[in-house]
Parts: sequence; C-alpha cells; structure tokens
Amino acid sequence: MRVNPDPYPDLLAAVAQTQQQIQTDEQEIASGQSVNLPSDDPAAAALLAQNAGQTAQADQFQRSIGSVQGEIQNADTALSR
Amino acid sequence: MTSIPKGRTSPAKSRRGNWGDDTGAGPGDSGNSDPIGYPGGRLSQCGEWGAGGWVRSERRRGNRLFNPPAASGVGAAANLSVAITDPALIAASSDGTPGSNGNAEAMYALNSQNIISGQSPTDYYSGIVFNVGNNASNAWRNKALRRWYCSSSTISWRRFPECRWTKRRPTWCSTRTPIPRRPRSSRRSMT
Repeated sequence: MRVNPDPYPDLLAAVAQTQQQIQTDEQEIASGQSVNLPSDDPAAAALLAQNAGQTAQADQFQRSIGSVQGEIQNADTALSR
Repeated sequence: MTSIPKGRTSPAKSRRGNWGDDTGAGPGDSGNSDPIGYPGGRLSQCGEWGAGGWVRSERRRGNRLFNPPAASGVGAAANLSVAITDPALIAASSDGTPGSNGNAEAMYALNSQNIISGQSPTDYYSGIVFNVGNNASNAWRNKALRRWYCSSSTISWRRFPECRWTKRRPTWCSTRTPIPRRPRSSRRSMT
C-alpha cells in the first residue's frame, strides 16, 4: 500500500477546488443562470450570443408588424368613412 | 469619398445594389484585421451607398448613413459613427419610385450575408464569444492544474522529461525547491 507522507498540499488543493465549485454554484443560484461567463460553458455562450441576435431580430419584426398594422388600420378607417 | 483597397468592389457597383452575390471576400480576407469599419469595408460602403439612394419623404438623394472612420486598420470600427438621427432620412428606396425598398432590403440582407471572414456578423460574433470563453476556461484549468502540480508531493517529477535531469520542479512552478525525498519509513511501506 502506498502512503502519501505529506498529504496536506493535496488536501488544501482539494479544499480550494471545492471552494471554487461552491462559489460557482452560489453564483448560478443567485443569478438563476447556469452560464454567467463565457468560460462557464463556451459552446452554450456562443449559442446564447446567436439567440440574443435572433431575439433582437424577432423584436424588430414585431415592431415592424405593429407599425404596419397601425398604418393599415388608419387606412381602413379612412376608407370606411 | 473613401479610397477602396485593391480588389474591393467599387462604390459605384455597390450603389446598384450588388450585395446579394457576395462571396465573403473583404478587407478582412486580405490581411486587414478590421473589415467592418475600414474605409471601403462593408459598413463604410453602406454609408457611401446610402448616399446614392432616395429619401422618400423629400424626393431627393439622401446623405450617407455612416461617418466612415478616418483611420484604417485595427480599431477603425470603433471610430465608425452613425451620421443620421432621424430614421425617416434613411434612403430606403433604391430608385425613387413609390414602394421601392431596394436599399432597405439590401441593408437588411447584410445581416445574413457572409461579410466578415466568410461568416455572417452573428456567426462571427458567436465565434468570438466561444473563443474567449474557451481560452478563459483553459487558462483557469491550466492554472489550477499547475498549482496542484506545484503543491503536490506525490508527483514524481523525475517522470517529467523536463525534470528528469534537473530533478527539480518544472520552470513554471513558482517554488524552485528540490523534489522532496520520501522518508525512509514510508519507503518501507511501499509494496
């Protein structure tokens, strides 16, 4: 059986790693998001960036549709008089 | 009028709305690392190109949409600014005829075209986010791993090629102390 004669550095490293994980988990709980930094999950962060662009595009579509609807309603009102 | 780098589409050709057959070739592919804002880059050309359109409300040729950056190269995009504040001044019509929206459609099409290093703007930005996140994650992991290596007493540094002859911790370890020898008592306990 192999015995580590000086286990404290390894124990301290493990404790530090656990502390880091706890800190990450607390951040996720506080924000309600699993990806707070791109380094948390680079692939997910890239997808989030794409989704943000698509969301902005969809919002613009909705604004445009609303604007056109208003114009059509005005035209309809004018024609019905 | 800005100068167009060698091999670029001329502004006159762009004004005719020749954006749909874009192959992705741009200043970024010819060694310029700032393809967006570079004079002659896509947004700058869009501004020049907007000057050739028509302002529907005033029935006249419009002004440019963007102020192209004076400087070229890295950081030029940061100096790019919007030249107009009233959206009604956007030259949506490409020929001045009622209902024409050729300019607006061409500008919108920029969103999905491969205009930056063969990628669409969204894909290019997404790639930047991935690379930054990946590099940061790897750097953190390497740092943690090296810290563990350097503080560990169980690693046989002699097995590392760079430590085989010096019998010391690697040069990237902050501690340059010799590798501790196991006490005799623990050596006996080895099987």
